Amino acid sequence: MGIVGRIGLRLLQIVPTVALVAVLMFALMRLLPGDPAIQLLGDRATDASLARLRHEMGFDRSVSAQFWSYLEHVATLRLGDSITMHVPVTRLILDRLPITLMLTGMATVLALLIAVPLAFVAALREGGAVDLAIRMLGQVGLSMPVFYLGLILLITLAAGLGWFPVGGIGGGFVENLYYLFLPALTLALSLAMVLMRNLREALIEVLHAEFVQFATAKGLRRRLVLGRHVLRNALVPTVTLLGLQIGSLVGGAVITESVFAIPGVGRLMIDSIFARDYAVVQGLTIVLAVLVSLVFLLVDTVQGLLDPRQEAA
Amino acid sequence: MTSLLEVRDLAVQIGPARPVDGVSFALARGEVLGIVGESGSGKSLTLRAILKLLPGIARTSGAALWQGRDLLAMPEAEIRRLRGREIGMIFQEPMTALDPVLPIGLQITESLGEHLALHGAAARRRAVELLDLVGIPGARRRLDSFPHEFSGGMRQRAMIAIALAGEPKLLLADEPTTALDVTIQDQILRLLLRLRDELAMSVILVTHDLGIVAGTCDRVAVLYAGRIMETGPTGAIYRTPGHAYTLGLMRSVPHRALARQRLQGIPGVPPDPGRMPPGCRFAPRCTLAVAACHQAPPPLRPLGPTHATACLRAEAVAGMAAVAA
Repeated sequence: MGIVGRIGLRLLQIVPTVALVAVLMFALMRLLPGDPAIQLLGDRATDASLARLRHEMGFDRSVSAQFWSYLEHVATLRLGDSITMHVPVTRLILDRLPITLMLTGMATVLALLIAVPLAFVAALREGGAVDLAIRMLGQVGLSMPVFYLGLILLITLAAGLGWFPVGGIGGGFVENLYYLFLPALTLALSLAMVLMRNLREALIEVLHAEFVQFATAKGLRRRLVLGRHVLRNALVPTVTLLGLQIGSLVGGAVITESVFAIPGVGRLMIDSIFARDYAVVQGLTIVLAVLVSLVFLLVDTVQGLLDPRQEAA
Repeated sequence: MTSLLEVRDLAVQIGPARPVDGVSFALARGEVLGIVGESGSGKSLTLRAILKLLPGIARTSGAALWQGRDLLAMPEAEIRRLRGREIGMIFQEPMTALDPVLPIGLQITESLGEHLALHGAAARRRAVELLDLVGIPGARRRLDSFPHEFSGGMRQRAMIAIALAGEPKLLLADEPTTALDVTIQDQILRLLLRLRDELAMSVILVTHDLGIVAGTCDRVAVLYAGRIMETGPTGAIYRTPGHAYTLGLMRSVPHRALARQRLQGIPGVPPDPGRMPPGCRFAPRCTLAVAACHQAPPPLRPLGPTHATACLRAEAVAGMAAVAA
């Protein structure tokens, strides 16, 4: 099967994944305690007005009836209107998604920019003082919660030194690079530490591989041996890990967006959960499920390119 | 005639152990030298030490004179240009020695770029020639294949093609046939001999297999526990082995003349490189050893114009070999 066929097949596999997520999401939201009508009208609302609202929203119908109409909406990509904000869920999400994508994208790039050189330096000096220092840095970075790290960066670099804005976003792509730098760095640091540890291990293993010795025996320059033979082989497991970490990156984005007051889908998610805005939460979950599935597909494709043995498998 | 390569008193120290200890040999242009020994005898270390491929924890002493210049004293940048260009090397297991994620063609052309400044289409043309030279059918199509898409024998041929890319004058072959079927072994050895003739290349063939040496090498050095036990022309050593260890090795391979006789192995195991015996290193396993063998390491002494042994009992060995033959 060609590469196009494989990608097509994987795209088809996203459909059942998303369907499963949709079902789980519906169940989870109904299991959450709390009544959206009370959330909307406040606890001093009369029973009559609550009942009217529930009827309007369809919450007085049986759960199975709600479920079927929900599935129908999902299948036809009509995600409905927000219960609290009275705007189409699709518009809400599409307005905020670019910011979150930019944030996570920047975080991934920053994480790689931090992790790859550190891992290389540590692996080349395996067991030395520099290696030890980098590994300890990794431990510290790993054990620090994202929100705590974000707050520290915020207090020192933004509030204290004034190098970066304290929160919010800018008015365009370039300005956003600046506004999102600190939140992206917050997200990137913990990801970078995970990647760094993994890549260091992989690099050390590959450095001892016989094909590296053979490449050296061929008379290749050290830089070529490291850049082409060592790094490429060591990146294979790291790319797998990066893909698996995308989920936690989305989770981290929810926290980071709250700390830095960024109007992305993470913030939208938190706000909607607290407001019991079923429509937004469900819509968002489905969109995120599709996105994460696409990232997995991307990771697998990159991996196939990095390591031809995986294509055959 | 000056030697192409002359190794003098080469030693490799790893921690307290000295797995290669005082190895000396010379190699003439166009010659095939066999280095024979059991696993752990230091034969692979010797090859790697010559090209300075050993990790930092291994300390190398002695000299390896390549056309008069000491490889061991060369700075890294200088020996790097020599690797692959003057002295090529192939490894035992092509599956692990070839980069699994790069096509064979690239693994050849990167050497061509490095040593001969050949790039792009010219490099690819040359790569096809090299694959042709080592007998890989459909060379042009195989350029973009990956190592896992080759059979074992073809992989070893591909590795030889890669090592030949820099047109080296000497090929170091570290057990190149050990991982292969017997029939493929023979093909690869023939290939090496053909390349020696066609390219006027010298070869150092490291192996544990005396049978391979007999059919391939001009001269042999028998290595045991990091020391040369005996060295000389292949024919002379086979006719009149001058070391008890050589005799033991010969008796542990099947031979036509000794058909239907029980093979005699060598009792015991090689010594721990951290605790070498004070005398001849083979003495603890030797059935011919006398008291003197256990006292001081016997030096190499000449048995013929180019035949030397480090065995005090060489004459007794020769007598036993004559009886057997």
